[in-house]
Amino acid sequence: MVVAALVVVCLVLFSLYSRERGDGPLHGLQGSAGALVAPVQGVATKAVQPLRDLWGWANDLSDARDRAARLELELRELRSGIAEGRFEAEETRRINALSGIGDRWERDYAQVPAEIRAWAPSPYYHRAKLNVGTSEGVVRNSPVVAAGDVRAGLVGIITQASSDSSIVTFITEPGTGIGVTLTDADNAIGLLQPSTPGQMRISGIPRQAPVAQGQLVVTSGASQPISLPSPYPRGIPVGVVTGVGRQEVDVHQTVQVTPYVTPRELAYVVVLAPETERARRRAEG
Amino acid sequence: MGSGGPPVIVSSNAGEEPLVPREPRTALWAAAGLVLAAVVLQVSLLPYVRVAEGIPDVLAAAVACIALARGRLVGTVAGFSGGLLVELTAPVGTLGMLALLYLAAGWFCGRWCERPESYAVLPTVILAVACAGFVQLGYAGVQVLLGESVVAGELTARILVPTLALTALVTAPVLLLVRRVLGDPQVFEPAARTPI
Repeated sequence: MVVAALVVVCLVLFSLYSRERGDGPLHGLQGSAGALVAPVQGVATKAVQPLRDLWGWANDLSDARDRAARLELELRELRSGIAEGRFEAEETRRINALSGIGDRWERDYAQVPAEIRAWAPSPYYHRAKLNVGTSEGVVRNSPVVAAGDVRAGLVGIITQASSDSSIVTFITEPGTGIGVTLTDADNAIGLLQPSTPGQMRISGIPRQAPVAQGQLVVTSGASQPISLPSPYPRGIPVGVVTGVGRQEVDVHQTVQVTPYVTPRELAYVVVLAPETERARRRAEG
Repeated sequence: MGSGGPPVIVSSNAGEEPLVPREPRTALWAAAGLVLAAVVLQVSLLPYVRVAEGIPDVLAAAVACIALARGRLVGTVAGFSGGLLVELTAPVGTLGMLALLYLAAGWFCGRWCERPESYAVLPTVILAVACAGFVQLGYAGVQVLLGESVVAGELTARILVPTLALTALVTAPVLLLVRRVLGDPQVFEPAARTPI
């Protein structure tokens, strides 16, 4: 009897939750419950921090032994440094030409440091709960960046925000699509999507665009392929090109990208909270 | 899950008298505490402990061990509350689905309470791994229902196999903890005392 009742409760909850909108009562209940247990999660996160550090240390030790990988990393850093310099120069030229109508994201967003409080306990969901919310200026569609091994880069976007917590959906979640550009490849634009774990793929780049390994990939500020405004402002680094595939019969080329940041290894991120009207409009879509 | 060979008895006072099960009310609170601890670990620490894309499912291990120690009713309630807690505290994007999956896992494992398998390590590990596999496949099924594509080979190689292996590793300590806290297996619900 109890079992049957619980099964019915589960099915009713699942059915209602799936049908209601993001601001429905069950989503609200989920947010409230999350806010209620946030202090507990905060304490738990602090309590398990030494264990996380220990695990991270073990991983670092393993990495340290892999000298070839480290050298490859240094090479990538140098390449991305060069690419970044080119991007900066291109952006400066563009901003100067437009006499102050630049779209650099640093001016429009406040950087809100956040701690990851909880992870989706399944590899199917690339999401995490943060300890900052609307009270810190974080809103839905705020981009999220984090420090990587080589440099900082885009990791995701806020998909849900309550007063004191928010949920970030990482760029590695299946179904994600980000408009990106390669300034070293004649500003070619394409759609960046997750492919294999740890890798992403840009589609829609013309075959003749001079894409090469080591080129910097940044957000384009527009959704692809229909060039609508994107919640991601132009110029946030995402990763570096690690492979290019061209076929004679295809009008487009496939570009493989390694993101700068691996979300699953993060403990802290920075949320870009909109500060200007332009950034707020961008977040509202 | 056969009972051919002699089971390996897991008891904190092996060789002496078996552990006396706690009072029902105390045991229920203890089981609730174990589920809560498993949920906290599952959403805060264990996502960092990963091999490929696999994460140990300590909640499945805890639900399986609690169900083996106290039977179907307690296992079912533990699974339901654990799954629901995860859905309320972690950004999984569903409500009720995980609760249903863990509920079914708890109900299934509770069938073996007080049987020789519930005293042994290996069957417990096998059941916990089966529960973790069931939950992962259920998740994958939900993803397919929601329109996402799940590649079978990738699911098996990068998610299922590492998850099950890691879950097998964490089950033994979870079993020891559950037995220490709850005592020897004893079915709580009167209905389950009848032969299954």
